Amino acid sequence: MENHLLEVRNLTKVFGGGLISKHQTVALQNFSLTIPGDRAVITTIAGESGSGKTTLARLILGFLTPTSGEIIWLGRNIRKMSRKEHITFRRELQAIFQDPYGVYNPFYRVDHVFKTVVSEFKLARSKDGVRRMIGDALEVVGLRPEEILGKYPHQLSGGQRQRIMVARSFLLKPRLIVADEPVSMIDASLRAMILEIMLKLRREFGISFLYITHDLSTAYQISDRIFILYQGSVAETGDATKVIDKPQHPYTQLLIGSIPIPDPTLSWEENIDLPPDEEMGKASETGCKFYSRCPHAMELCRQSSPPLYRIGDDHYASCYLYKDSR
Amino acid sequence: MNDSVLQVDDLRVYYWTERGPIRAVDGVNLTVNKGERFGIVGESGCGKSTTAISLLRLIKPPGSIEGGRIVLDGTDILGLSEEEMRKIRWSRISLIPQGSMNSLNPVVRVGSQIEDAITTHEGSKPRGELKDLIRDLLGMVSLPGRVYDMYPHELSGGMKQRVCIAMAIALKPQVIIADEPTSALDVVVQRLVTQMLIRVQKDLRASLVIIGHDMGLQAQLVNRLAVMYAGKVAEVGSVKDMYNDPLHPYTQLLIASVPSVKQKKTLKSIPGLPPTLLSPPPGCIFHPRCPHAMEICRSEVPHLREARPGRIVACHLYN
Repeated sequence: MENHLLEVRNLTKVFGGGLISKHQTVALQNFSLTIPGDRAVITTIAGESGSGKTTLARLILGFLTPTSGEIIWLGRNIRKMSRKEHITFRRELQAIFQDPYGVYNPFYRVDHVFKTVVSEFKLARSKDGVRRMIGDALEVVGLRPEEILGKYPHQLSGGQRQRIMVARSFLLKPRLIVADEPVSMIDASLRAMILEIMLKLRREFGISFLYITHDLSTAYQISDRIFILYQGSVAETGDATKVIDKPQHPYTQLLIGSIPIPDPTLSWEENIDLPPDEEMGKASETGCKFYSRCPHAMELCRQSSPPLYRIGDDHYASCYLYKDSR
Repeated sequence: MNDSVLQVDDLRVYYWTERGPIRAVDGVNLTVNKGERFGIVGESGCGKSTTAISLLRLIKPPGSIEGGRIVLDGTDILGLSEEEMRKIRWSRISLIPQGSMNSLNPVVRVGSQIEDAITTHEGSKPRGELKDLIRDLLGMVSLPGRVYDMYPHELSGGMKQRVCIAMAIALKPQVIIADEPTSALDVVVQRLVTQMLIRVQKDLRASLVIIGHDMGLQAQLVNRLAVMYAGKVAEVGSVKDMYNDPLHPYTQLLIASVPSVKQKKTLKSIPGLPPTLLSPPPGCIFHPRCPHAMEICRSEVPHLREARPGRIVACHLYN
């Protein structure tokens, strides 16, 4: 069995249902994915709010414990790792987050974010060694060390701060970077730089990415594979270009059809409506989660939740419309 | 043109700091016509929100309107007394501020909040009449009547935003300004709210000014668009013209940087950073980042001119 880099098996996370609150929320249900170990891949986890994508990121990073299911890193279950294995895991799996300001302590110069990494992981022996490492990492992300080091976070733009965070992750030569909405708080004209850096890290350094986003337009530009999440379950998954060019699940079709295209000649087709109960978050308990909004809903959909059907080469959708394809 | 309902000439709004004035809006000219949807697009710090707030004279210290004219359907806004301005706000021009859905009072029911918005600007009305008016408003934004008795936290983001829209249209103003009305909403809800804004604008025969940073959304939503950069207007034109044939180098770069699910392309970003508005560069404020900068751009400020019919640009390439 070839060694996957990351394997997520039947991961479920339920919030609530304790002594105080009877109400339970199933944030993520029975989620599985694999990221290969032999090549660098950019996998997108896409969804709107309530889809479970942030919960998945937090589970993988170990910020949350799963209710059931396993997260396996290079063949080892992350909850059963020895201390030594765990330190290596922490080095090989890095993260960049959405807010390029909140992650910085405003009292320290930005150099501080590198210093903690270097000392925690004992990356270099001499001061010169450290300086060279940091300089190299900054150049990889297109920043000039002399323009960045010694400055405070507020003196730099969001794009620069985010690139510093990528440089910091890069210092540890990770195998996988979890990027949670890395460009959503950055101006449109500066986003391309971050996305280009992600592509460059994959191409030149073999680093894989798990790109968590609601923005399918950017996902389309950089992803190899994609998972479309809806209310904790996978609606559709497969090769990113195939899924976005020809979505098969009714939710994916609605989602992609609702993206405003930056071309005034291509407009939204017909007007859509949202049933009020759905809006207030009370989706159906049993059956397909998309039932109440689905234009193709059948009786079967109300009774049970559809599994993932293979609908093409590297293209899967969890929808009874495809129950006869295998 | 007689068709214009809002005319802004040479508007200047500065924020005064210890180190001097920050020229947030520095000579903005805009014309909004009756019944049109007009977009103002730009990135952080370009001055679009400051412009929006100025139109209702809601700028607070350390900001102040330093110059220019704002004329709303014949009325000189900057020449009014505070009392007169209060009468105009909401009844003739209203604003859906950025993040307004998160500013709803959490301990007051939705119905009462809409009531407050109405009675503050139109004086008190008989109870029954007010309730009917509000239920009609909720219907206009496709919200069920029971929302009247609900609290904001019981509503989804899209529903809260529609409550804010209901408040902004309550007195049937001529001009509605919406500052990033859908930024925090999911894609599908964003489409819903946008469609509803268009419907409401058409029903009221009002003009809609949409401030945003999402070029995709602007393409779907507005008839004409103004692109702002560092406190100035770079270009104005119809959406079709702007996207097919952008004239200003900044507009060209901005459009090239917007990804789309319709085609894969090399993503481009604009090198450099927007200038500090404390001491902006001389000449054209975009020249340090402009791929076509000429000698004249470094010393002379380009003014907005009609380069071709219906195409207004502030750029020396077209003089």
